[in-house]
Amino acid sequence: MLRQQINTPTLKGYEHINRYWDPRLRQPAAKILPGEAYVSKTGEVIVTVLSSCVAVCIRDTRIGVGGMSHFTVPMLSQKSSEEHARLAAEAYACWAIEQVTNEIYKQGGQRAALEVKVYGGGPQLVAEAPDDMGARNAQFLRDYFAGEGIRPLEEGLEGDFPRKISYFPDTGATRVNDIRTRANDTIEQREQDYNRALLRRPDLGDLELFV
Amino acid sequence: MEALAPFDVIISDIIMPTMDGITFIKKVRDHAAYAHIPILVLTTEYSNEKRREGDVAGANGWAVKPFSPAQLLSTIEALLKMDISLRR
Repeated sequence: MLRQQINTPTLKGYEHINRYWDPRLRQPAAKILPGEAYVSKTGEVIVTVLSSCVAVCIRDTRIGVGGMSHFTVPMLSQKSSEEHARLAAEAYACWAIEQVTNEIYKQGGQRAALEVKVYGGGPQLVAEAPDDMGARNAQFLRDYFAGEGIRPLEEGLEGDFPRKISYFPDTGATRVNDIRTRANDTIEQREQDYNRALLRRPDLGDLELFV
Repeated sequence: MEALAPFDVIISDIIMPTMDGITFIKKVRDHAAYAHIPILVLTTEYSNEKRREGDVAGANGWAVKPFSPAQLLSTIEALLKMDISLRR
């Protein structure tokens, strides 16, 4: 389908995100891929398709700025201990969520006004990844928000099918559609590419001392 | 800023509600009791421009998330060994 591309995001720093005019919804849409996050100031829908990955939707109900992060808790194959790998993987996932919250704070948002919805953690489509990846991602989110003292307003975790999530940060509304039949393996391919890219990360951290 | 119990290192983000991290660092450095405590910035902000701002404000290290716990610990150890009074 040919779509009219829109090049100017409502906030700086998201120029790389695929945005287009959605003629049915009559508003701009931003479509994010695994590993991407997008925050909208106003008047947009954020769309993603996921399976075992998760999508965290966060907005500030007071100022109406909100966004979505699409990620997985990576299965890092590191030589160091399993505990180390688990912590490093969770650090990555926390970072993925904070990309959204930090942008909301930059726009004047406040923690007490945050509203959270979480989706995903469905079936694992990538042959080389563990079968319980979706369940692990779902559990990570439950633990993460319990630790933050935030109860998600909606929890659409696990389930039998990949899903398309549409999020409207202005109102906080979401639409969730199960994808029961697929014409191709695009969803698998994207999740696989993303998983492989995470495994290739040579170094998780970038630390500098000012001396 | 009120004087609190003594501590060895300050770890702070840069993007925060109410007061941003750069302002926070400057305030810490202006406080006689805290002027010599190492400050590590722990953030998702990776631009060199912000790093310079942090350096100038008085931060002693900058760590971009995500990082591993081992990396964080070794950075803290290095900070504790640094004589930051030499920089001021």
